[in-house]
Amino acid sequence: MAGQEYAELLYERGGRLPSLARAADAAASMGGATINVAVIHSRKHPAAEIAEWSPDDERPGVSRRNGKSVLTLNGRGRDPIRIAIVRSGGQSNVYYALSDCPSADFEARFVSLLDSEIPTISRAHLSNAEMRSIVGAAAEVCDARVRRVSTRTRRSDPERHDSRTDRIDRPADEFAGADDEERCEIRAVEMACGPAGQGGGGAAGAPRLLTVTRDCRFSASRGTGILFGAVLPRAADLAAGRAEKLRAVARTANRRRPDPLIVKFKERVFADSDKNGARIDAIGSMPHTALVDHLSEMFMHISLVDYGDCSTYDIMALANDKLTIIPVFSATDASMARLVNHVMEKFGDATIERYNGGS
Amino acid sequence: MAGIDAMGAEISAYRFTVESIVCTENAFKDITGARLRQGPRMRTAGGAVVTPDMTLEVMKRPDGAGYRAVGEVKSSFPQYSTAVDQMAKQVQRYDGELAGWEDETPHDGSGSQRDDHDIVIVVRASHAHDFAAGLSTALRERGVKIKSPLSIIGITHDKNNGDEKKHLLKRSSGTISHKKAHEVLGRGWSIDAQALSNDLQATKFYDSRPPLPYIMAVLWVQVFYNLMHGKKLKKLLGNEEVYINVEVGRIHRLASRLAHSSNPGCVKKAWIRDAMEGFVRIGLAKRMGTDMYRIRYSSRKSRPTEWLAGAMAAAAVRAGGAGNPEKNCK
Repeated sequence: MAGQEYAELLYERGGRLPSLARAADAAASMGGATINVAVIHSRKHPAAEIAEWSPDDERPGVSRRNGKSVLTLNGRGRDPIRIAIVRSGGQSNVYYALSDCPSADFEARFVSLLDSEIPTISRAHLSNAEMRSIVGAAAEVCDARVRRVSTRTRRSDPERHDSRTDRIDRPADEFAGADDEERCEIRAVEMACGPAGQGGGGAAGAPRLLTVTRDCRFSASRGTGILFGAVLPRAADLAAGRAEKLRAVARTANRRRPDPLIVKFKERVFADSDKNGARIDAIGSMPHTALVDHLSEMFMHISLVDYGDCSTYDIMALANDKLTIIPVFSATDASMARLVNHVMEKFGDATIERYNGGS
Repeated sequence: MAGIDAMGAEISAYRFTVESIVCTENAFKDITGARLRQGPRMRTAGGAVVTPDMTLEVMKRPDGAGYRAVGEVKSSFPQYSTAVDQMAKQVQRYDGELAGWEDETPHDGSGSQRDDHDIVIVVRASHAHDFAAGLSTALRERGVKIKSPLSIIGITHDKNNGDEKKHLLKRSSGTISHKKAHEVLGRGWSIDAQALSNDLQATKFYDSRPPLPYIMAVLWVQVFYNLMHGKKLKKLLGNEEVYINVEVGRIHRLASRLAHSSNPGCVKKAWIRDAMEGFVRIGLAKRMGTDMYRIRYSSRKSRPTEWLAGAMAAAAVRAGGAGNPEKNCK
């Protein structure tokens, strides 16, 4: 079957998730294509949001058939790329956006469009534990080995870090249960997946490769069965859990005493108050925001507005390893996700929790 | 820029007072169960109106027990004798009978006295000793003996208490008539900063006028934005300017939500008018009628405090006559 025909399966037929997954698997395993997927969260259907918010000269074409929407992104003399968007199986506001376009185009033309122009769609940046959980999900259904790991080790300055990529060969279940190195973030993991009992290479020649990146993106070549069957559902569950926590806090914004969100970092990243200026700069580097530094002598305290939508926050460092984020007047879960992703990107691995012990 | 540094110090001092009020409230609430009111209007026996930074009250119980105090926060120690003298005058005004308590019943059951309250002064811990000495000298020189129990409480960020940031309040001198508070604050009372986060978020202003660039920046980041929706938001994302019509009353209502719940009236309409006139002076607003303004808003300024302070300083220089030889010659 020619590549054109697989593309037709993916974008023209496909329909709902199971048949789309089969089409993607056929395209990847027989056509040799790499399928890229981004897990996204949106209250309304993402295709409608993308069409509404995209700049006029980059507005995509949208076709909708059998519960599946396909975006066609043209623009500035380049070949069009197509993105199929389907609702994830169990999570109503979590969607998969997938394409067989080159990975570089997927990143530069689709993911960056979401991040910079579409304030109502959010993506979940994963923690080390979540990355390992997703690797573990693959290990539960096949013989998977981790072949390559990209990491970033943070220096004391929030803007400085050392990046490296290591080629390894380690069973995925072992990797999933391993401890983290200090100050180290897992940025990407590449696995080789084979049928259960046949080892990571698989018996039928070249292994199926599956890559997970920290910003909840995935790519698979030579087959996507494990991706759709095990990996994406785990990622969707994690994304939905994160979004639900953020939504629960965001909806308290218009109360007199909104609920704070605590971002708890693994490291004591706010220990040295002399560095608060650099930390405020790091938070202020979030795109489309403005902030007021309240110049507290006791701890870092800023107010921030996210120009993406009507969201405003107070942000305080009230413990050496925690950031307290309080939505003020109004906030959306998409904006809170952007903010949490940004501070995790700047200050390292963290978990989030709703604070219920306010005075 | 020196002017902007000075403005930063002024904002920092303003926030120190806000944080100290919040800390004091929570300390007295935890120790005595007292309720705090910020900036209440009270009347002395002579009929003068005074507005202490706060009052702390434990309602009188049937056994006669209760507690009342007026509290004042001093973010800096006065350097000049006149300032110390003014401080002594303020303490003198708080001494004796005060009307305006939530519970006007006299605590001693006499039915007439309103002077059974403490005076609590909260200062930076590093200033507490000098402050007490300076105040004592000033009162002696004025020939005044304060009858109310008077205490000086030093406040500091407690750096020796693990990873959770804490505030430490310690009575450095004087007496608190509430026995438990006297003893506990004598040893030092530590407050988990996390427990104050809601109060700190909700208290941007207290009953003292904030530095002008500060209130302008808070309006810019946390208030004007409430007035924009739909197409205006999309324009902002595209770095375009948008125009919003604002009415002082509406801005005032929104800004009043950024004051302590006990004192929502502390934000004065005059502060909002001054802030709007500030935006007019730097070319970001136009007066459209009485209390009506049209704001030119953009998302290009990521740090509005610094930018507004700079623009205000430049506007002051222009208004001061840099280009006006006649005025310069006067």
